[in-house]
Amino acid sequence: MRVGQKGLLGLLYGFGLMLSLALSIYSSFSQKTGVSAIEKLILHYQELDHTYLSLGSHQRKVHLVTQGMLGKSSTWTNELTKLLSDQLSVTEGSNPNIQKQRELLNNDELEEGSKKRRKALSKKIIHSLKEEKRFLFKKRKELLEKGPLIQKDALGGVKSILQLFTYYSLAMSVIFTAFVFLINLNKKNLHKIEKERKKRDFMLDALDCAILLVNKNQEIISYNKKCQQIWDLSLVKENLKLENLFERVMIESLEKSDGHDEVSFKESPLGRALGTPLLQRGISFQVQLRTLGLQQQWFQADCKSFKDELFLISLTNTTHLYEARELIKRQQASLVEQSKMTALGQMSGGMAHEINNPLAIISSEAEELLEIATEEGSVAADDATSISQNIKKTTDRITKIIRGLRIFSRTSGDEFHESSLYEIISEVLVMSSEKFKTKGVKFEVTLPYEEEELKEKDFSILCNEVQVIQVFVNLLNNAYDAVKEQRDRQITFEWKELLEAHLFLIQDNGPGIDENTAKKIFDPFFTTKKVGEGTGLGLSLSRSILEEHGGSLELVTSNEGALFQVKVPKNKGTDDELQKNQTKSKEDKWAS
Amino acid sequence: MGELNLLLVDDEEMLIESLSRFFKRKSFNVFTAHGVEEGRKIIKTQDIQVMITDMRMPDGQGIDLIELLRSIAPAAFILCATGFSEEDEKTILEKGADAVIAKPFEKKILLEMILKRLTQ
Repeated sequence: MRVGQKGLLGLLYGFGLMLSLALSIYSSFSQKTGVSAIEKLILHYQELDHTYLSLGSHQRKVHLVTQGMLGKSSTWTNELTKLLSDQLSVTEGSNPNIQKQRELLNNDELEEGSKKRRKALSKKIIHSLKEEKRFLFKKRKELLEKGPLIQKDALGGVKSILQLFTYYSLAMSVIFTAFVFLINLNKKNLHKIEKERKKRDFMLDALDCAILLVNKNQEIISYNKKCQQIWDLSLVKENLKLENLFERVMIESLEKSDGHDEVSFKESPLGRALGTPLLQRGISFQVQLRTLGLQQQWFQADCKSFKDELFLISLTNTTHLYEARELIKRQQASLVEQSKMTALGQMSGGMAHEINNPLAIISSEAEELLEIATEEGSVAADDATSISQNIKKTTDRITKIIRGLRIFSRTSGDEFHESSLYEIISEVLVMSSEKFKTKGVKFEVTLPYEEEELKEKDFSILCNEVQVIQVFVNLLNNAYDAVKEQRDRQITFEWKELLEAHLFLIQDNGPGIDENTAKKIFDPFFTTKKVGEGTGLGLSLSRSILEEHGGSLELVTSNEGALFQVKVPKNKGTDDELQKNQTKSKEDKWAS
Repeated sequence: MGELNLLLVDDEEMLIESLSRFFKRKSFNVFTAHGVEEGRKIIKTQDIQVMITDMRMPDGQGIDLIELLRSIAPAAFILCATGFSEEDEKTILEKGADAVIAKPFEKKILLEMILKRLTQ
């Protein structure tokens, strides 16, 4: 089709060019006189003819005037002068006699001259007029004899018309050519633009994200193909507004446990940002939309404005990322659980021993009581007291150990509760000291206050108790692993109270941690332990647990052994109260 | 049968106390030690015929005492009482123990084992 159009245009152009060429060749052959020459000739002829006729009537007039007029010389001289002037204006320069006669008429002598003189003058004039008449007649005759020339000129006129037409068609063909050229150029440009547009459309449609272009009034101006997979835009009416597409959306929420929040379009980050300078920098948020397949899918929405007039909104489907993230979350939770079991499993070895030992005591004491009673018929008060006291003490001991085992029966979950830091730490210490005792580890514990005082202090923190216990158990297990090959095994545990946090220092006298290991020690799956002995998750999980609690876990470089520093922030609630009280006291100060 | 020298080694004070009372009543000459070092001294200085020892103690392993006593008194009756279920029984027996008993145990059974061995 395009080739056909081009060919037709070429043909037209060629035809125009050939036509103009032919006409110009023809006119160059036929041209002899111009149009104006013919016209001049015709005009001249007409003028001469007219002059000749008027001369005839004037001659008669002059004759009558000269014959009958003896007075009123001024009247006839005036008339004669006018006549001569008229004659002169027509055939000026053609007859020198006329000029002379005119000069004569202007002469004053004519006024006062004698009749004879006037008669003579009149005769002269008549003579010259006659002469003029003859001259004109001759001229007319000559002109009439040129008849064939007039015919020839008529043909010249036709030629001129043809020539005119040639010029016209030449001009037309030039204009036409220019027009065709311009049209062609325009067509070419249009074609180029169209091609570019198609390319751009293809690019936009091939994109994996949905793109919407919205104007100031939030009306959708343009959109790419991908949008049709989200919304049924074939039913789109004119002036469809953005909020119709986003009516109610789910947005990602960090506060909510299920991770999202349902809001209206106006409450969404986009709705809030429209018309604010925020959009010039661009905003980005996660949004869940119900797509055509009626599936809830997550999108990453990126919005940017162009001079606050146009808004570009792109939506990238991130559902698979969400799913992957959910999976990772679940796996992470199971890893945390697994790691907890590993840590506590390591502890439990010591626990079995520590439960069996007191059980042996209880069993032995009970047997004793039974034997005394059987053999002697009664039990002495002293024996009964001592034995039952032993049994009671030992039972208490077992109870304490069993409390540490609660963690096994609990899953850590996500919930944070108000818990006593003292109870957490004493649970950790009971479990650890049982282990260290049997393993021959010297375990030194330094507390910020006496135990009774600590109980009263009630350092409560908002935490996930199980996870915090896990962190300490894990660190103490690591400390044990570090010292188990040592001759003198020593582990210290120090609790310090800082202004805004609790600080725990756990140090061992093991071989220490070299620089390279220290760099990677908090990386997940990094372990220096043998395969099967450690998951390599202990420290990385401990750190992330503490960070979730607003605390931190650091390895302090030390010359001997390893020193880990745990920071747990003091309860925010009490801090806030403290701050409130402080501000209040300040205000009071100002007031006073 | 005369008085038999019996050594009790355990870091559990109350257990030692209870066992000691029992065996004294059963006419044993009872020696007690609260750790490996203490036990070592007694083995070296006394003619121990029966020993009941714990396995894991803060200052060492009961297995060292088993080896020591076996080397000094090959005929001695050595019992190992352990709270660990996963303790390697085979190794303990190889090192010279006559039997491994899991804590908690019945004193009567202990006594029966000792008497049975001594009458053989």
